[in-house]
Amino acid sequence: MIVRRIMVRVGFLLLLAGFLVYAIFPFYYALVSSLQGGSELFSPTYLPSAPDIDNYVAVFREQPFGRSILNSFIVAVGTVGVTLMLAALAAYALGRIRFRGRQGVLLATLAISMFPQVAVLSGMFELIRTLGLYDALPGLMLSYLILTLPFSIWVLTAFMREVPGEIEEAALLDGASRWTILTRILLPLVAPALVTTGLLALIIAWNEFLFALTFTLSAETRTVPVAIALISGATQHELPWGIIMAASIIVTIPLAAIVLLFQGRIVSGLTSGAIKG
Amino acid sequence: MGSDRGQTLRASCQAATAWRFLAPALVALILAGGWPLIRTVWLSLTDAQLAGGVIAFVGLENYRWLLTDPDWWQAVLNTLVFATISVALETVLGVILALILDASFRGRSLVRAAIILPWAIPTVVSAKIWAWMLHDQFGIMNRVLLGIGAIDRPLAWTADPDLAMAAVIAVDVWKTTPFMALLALAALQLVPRHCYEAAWLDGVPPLRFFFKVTLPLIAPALAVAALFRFLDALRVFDLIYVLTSNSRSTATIAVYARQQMMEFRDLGYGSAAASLLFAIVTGATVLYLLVSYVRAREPRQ
Amino acid sequence: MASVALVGITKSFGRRPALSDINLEIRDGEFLVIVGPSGCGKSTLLRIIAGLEESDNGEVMIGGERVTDWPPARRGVAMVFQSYALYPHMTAFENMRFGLKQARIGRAESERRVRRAAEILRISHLLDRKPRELSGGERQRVAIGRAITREAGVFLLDEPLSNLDAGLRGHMRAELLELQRSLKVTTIHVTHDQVEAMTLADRIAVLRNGRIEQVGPPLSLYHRPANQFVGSFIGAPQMNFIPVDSRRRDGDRLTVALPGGADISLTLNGRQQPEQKGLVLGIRPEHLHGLAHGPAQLTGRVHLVEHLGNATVLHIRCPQIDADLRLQASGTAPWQAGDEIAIGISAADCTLFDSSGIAVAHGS
Repeated sequence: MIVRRIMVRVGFLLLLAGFLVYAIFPFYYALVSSLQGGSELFSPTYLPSAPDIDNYVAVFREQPFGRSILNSFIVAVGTVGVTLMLAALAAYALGRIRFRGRQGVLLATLAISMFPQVAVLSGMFELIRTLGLYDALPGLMLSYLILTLPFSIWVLTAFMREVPGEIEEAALLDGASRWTILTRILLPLVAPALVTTGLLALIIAWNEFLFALTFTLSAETRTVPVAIALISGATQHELPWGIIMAASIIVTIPLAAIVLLFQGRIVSGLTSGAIKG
Repeated sequence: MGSDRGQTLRASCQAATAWRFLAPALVALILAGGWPLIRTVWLSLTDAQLAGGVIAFVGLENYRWLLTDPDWWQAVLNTLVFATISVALETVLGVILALILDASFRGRSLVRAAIILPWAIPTVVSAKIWAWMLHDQFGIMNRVLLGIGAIDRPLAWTADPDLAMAAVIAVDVWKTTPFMALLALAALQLVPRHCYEAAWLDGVPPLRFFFKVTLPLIAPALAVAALFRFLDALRVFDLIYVLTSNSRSTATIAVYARQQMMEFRDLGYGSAAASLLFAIVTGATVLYLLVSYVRAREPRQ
Repeated sequence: MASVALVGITKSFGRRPALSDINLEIRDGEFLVIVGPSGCGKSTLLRIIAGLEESDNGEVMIGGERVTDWPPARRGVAMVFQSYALYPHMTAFENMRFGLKQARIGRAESERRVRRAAEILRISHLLDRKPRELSGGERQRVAIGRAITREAGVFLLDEPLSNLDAGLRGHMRAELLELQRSLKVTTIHVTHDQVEAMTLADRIAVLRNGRIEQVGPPLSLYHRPANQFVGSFIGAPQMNFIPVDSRRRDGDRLTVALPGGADISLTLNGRQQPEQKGLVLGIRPEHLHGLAHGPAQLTGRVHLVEHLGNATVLHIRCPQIDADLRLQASGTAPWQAGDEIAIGISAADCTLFDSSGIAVAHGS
């Protein structure tokens, strides 16, 4: 009986360790590779023999990677800011006011979240070009709204609905205007949802690739995912893998920090959003 | 004596306010989603080119071409194969991982964070890291497999058309299993605890318990999650493009469409491909909604 | 300080009528309690006065002004909700001050009002706490404090004591009464608890199915219920209803016969002759007396005895009467289950109801 217990326990731990290695090993290997200079890369190993940060320096030297990071940051923060503002306003209407067409709007939002990115690509391309936003960060931010706005509206609406109606009525009797009720009462009460939605939107905006690839042209406007994808070497088929791995690690570290700090929120956001969706 | 006001005055005043608050978000959604989609469909009916210039209406000509293009059908096949296999694998692995995470143990949140990391990084980064590991000459994957004798020579995982799809699916599984695991975990946590206790008291072997009790209970939520993940997978672009670029053996519909639009510069033709993808995804969604609607109406067995 | 008047208020929710032609006048400084069973429309009526709901027809007047189309904030009313509806993310102090901020009252004045209210309610030491850190009774005081600081002319209380434990409820009842007396604010209090109504009200309005059954001071309703519903709703244990037959009429005197043959003589309320059939005599449990000797109007067998300590309630089965009679005697009564008992009734305490439930005669 005890033996059985121990075996189960060991089996459990082995399985757990297996998944952990599966998940983390690629990062570890990328880190190792990034610390290997030039010809060392040609002999794969698990531990760097003479670690040096040459690759990391090269990342910023060979292309305006710092600029790309800034671009990603601007686009991500801008997208999140705009998304939360628009979604909060919409969620107030959808979550607290009963009106004809409410169901329709919610369904339309759900439908829009099902659009394949590539299906709006040509239309969006045309629009961005017409607005003169091609190869410009605001154009990117506009296109990202289709990715972040629908689920933000859904999640915030769900949370807004849960605030008891009597609190709003008490505020009405206290003489508060609708705007005051939204900003001073409702938004503080759904603050956790705002944080969660913001985090998910941030990750989505930061990681986005297709629109960033298609709507930017110059190296100065690129965001990080595109910059990494386009890292090229001296010759056609020789990619500077050390540099690419270094860039990957650079990008991974802040994301890892965010995941570590906010994993509770992220998890709850994903599960509640997905289940309700 | 007052007139009959009823609900109408209040209601219309409320509605006006509601639409005022909704307006900004609706404008954004139309601008970023509704209008571009309509434009794409319209473009698919023209011979528009990427550089601009005069546009002529060609009706369903692009679609006719599309349906006779073997590359298109290959893309459709690739998309279906990719979506089906990767979602199936992710669901199974996800459930197993969820079962592990469901048990409470020390350091659980740290493990959870570690597991989420593959999901949180840009697809581009996962693609590049795995591309390096799967490198035919210097990749560690080949090294290990050669070392344990599973293969007798290094394989070109991303270049070889016979292996590329497997490589792509493998990376997607690595990246997306955490997401499915989280959803499965949420479903698991809705299973009432006393079921486990009762079974443990009755001495039910855990495997039988899983298949007879746990699985049926989480199956509905899991099915919905798998379906959404499937619809998501139909739209995949980033991974394929970065890992295998426009290779015919792995190109999905999205890759194909963009290639037509941006590289062959045929905006109209590419838009047709993109519109078809939209139709497929929407059709599948509507089908699901109809089925679940009909199911909900049926009396319980 | 303001009077409130409701003129012809009607309201339906879809096809379901909630209020039918409500007419009510509440004097300045009066404590009116609207009481009735669940679903009678009392909360709806309160919300219409507050402006949170719109009536289909009729007018609401506050302080002589027609406020029917005014938004809630403009009406000068303050409301205490059943769930208190405190703002969870604000401290008690901020909760009480919120309305003043909206009215653009200066900082110094707001603070003065909040502290004064806190003192009256004895919650000065709780001002920095958030609602989740307060007990039910403390939260209720903050809710009342929120109403006081606004110095509104009318207080609306929506079942404010329902969520409290029984012991606390009695205590808060007394405090509420004292508060109203000292502030002299027109108060409209809604409840389903007739004890609250009896103890707090200057006048009671009994509501049933959206109609006012009777309005008047508590003791009026108690001793002279206008109909059977009011008679049964007010007072506990519930009034007894005994079917009787009309025997004889002399001018404005009507004699009815109890089951068992004894006669009771009553004074008619109006001029007309009530019908012969379906007459019911209402008599409260404390007005039935167990007789040791002397002529009894009713006889029966004790079925159940409830000892309350300060009183005893006997449930008595009488032949020819379907329902048990309830008799309340003070202190500990000597009867036990199974005993035969002779019951005396004095005509002065009786009310006679006709077949539609309306009171048509009463004892003098």
